[in-house]
Amino acid sequence: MKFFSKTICLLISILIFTSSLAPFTSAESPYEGYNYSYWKKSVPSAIPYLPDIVVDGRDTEYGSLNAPEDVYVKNEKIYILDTGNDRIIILDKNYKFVNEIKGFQNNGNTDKFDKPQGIFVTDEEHIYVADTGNRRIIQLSGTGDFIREIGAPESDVIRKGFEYHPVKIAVDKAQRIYVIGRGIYDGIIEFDPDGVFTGYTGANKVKFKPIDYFWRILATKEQRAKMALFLPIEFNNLDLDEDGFIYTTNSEKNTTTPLQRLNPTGTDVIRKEGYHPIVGDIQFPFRGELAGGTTFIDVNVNEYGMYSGLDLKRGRIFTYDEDGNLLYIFGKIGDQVGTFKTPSAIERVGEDIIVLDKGFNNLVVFKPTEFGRNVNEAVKNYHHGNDKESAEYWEKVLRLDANYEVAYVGIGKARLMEGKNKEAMAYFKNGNSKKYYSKAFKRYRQEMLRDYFGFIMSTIVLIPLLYIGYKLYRSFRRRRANAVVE
Amino acid sequence: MQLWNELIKYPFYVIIHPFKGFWDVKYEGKGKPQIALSILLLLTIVITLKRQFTGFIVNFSNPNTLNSIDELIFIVLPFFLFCIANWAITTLMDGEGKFIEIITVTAYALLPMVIIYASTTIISNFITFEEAPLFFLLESFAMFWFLALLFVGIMTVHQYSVSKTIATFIITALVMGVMIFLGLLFFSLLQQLITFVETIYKEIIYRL
Repeated sequence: MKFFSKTICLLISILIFTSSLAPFTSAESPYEGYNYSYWKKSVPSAIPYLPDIVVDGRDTEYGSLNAPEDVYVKNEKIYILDTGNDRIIILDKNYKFVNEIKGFQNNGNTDKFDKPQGIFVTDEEHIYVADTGNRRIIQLSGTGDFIREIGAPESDVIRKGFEYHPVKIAVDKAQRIYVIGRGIYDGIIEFDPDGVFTGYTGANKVKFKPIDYFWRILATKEQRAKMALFLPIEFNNLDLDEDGFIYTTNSEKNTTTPLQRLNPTGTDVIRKEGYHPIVGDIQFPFRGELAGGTTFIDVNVNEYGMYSGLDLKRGRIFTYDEDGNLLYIFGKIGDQVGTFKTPSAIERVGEDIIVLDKGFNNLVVFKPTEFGRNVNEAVKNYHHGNDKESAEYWEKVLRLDANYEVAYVGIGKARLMEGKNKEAMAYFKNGNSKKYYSKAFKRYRQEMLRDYFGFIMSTIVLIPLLYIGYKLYRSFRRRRANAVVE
Repeated sequence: MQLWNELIKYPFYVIIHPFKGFWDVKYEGKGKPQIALSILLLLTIVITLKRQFTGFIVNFSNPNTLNSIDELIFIVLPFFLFCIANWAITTLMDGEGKFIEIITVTAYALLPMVIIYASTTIISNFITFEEAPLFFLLESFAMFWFLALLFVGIMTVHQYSVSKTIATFIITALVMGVMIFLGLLFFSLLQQLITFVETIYKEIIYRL
């Protein structure tokens, strides 16, 4: 008995010791991994990204953040617009402090920001700030020296009662400046490289229901004055992709286009090849505190056309590929590390996703898991036209999540390229892609027809011939029988 | 051979020659209720198979929700609902058709659907996306053919004029709605009654 208790004690202590030594094979995620299937059902999926570190400025040389509104990443430098403290903080890619811009020399006077809400950095590391409180755009050099300021737009097309509060800004490769103003529903304000207002771009269309119009006709003048105006919805954020297209978000209720990709004429050209419209969550409650669909507050697009929308309402990040396939979802409103209170901006540092939270006054860095990395690599290779490599990554993805329909389609496309039509058909069927299945099937059918052409043709010719022969034979027999009787 | 001609070939004759065919169903006793019910059963089987085996490109049904019992409910129930409603209405509106005739005529009118759905299910496995409109054209043609046959059939067995037939159809649809409503009401009340009795029983058991 004594011996037993001793061995048991030893065993237990070994167990405890080894379990504490063993590395965590799967880190606990503060949010659930899910995605939407072809049949519009939310299905469990692997976790694509996990929170890594949290940057909040505490115990650092630059001090705590205060209600930061925007962040921008350029040349592996992270520019945080610390709105509450009216300053810009520049960090390197390891989130170590590089520089801080609190004020600047404007015509010999010391000038500073007033609750700025938008920041953009060009390739030459010129910093553009939407200085909301001072109603102007400030352009600074990379070191924080004042270059110029651009005031409110002036033109005949600007309507009366126009209030200029620039909140978000972007500058394209031709140095044209795009500004989103609070409460401006005419579209995105566009300035030419000299800072002269050139017009609005990409105005949202006014939408109203016929029933509203009917009531409006019936209403008296006083009633009509009290009714809500039919106004187009305003944009709330923007980002530019490699080709100079503008990705915008808006927070219109029940819209089917909360994320748009505007071409230079201001038309939405986002690709909708995915299973569902690009609206974030497809299933959501219609009642209660969190009623209604996803409210996008920011969008980030990377160099291979993959874009992520940040949902203010439920703190989720929806990532789509350039065709509009929903790749993965993560994030949550909560109190744990990696969840948000009031997310305000999203950016990418390489493959990492960083989310700024003005509620918690911090910046959360998310690192891709094996699943997320493989999805990203597959999408990247597909974008560059390496279908075969892409398929290899998709196969790895399927090993982690066998329900991942986009991966089946990805592999199917590669098989189709290789001419393995039958295999491609099976993959497209698994991926529920009728369009590509049809393409594969068409080739397969052609292949089959070519192989069995002789056989098919001979049956088509032979069967009627045999039938006619049989008929002839019968009539011949009958005639002979008749002849015998006679 | 006589049986073959009478039973199997006759429904096919009817769907091509509806006026003469339905007339003979009524006055020459050519229609057989057994055949009518077989056609109905056949249609249920064909539609169940269609849901499952239509080619992937034009098959929009979710395999996770397929249920043969549901198909039965969505085909057999409306069939009898229509027949009963039509019979109830036409009896009041001087229709000459008997209930058995209404059932026979309605079922015979379903035959084109059986034939066309069976063939489209096979064809759909060999078509691409570009050829899909042909498939949908055939499907809607089957529906149209069925409605036309039903119209002629009902008109013939009741000896109605065209306008009166249209009116009967509209009223039949309304009556079908009323019947569904009453049915639901009945089951809901029954449910509440059962719950009530159950509660009383439980209460007594606890008190004793």
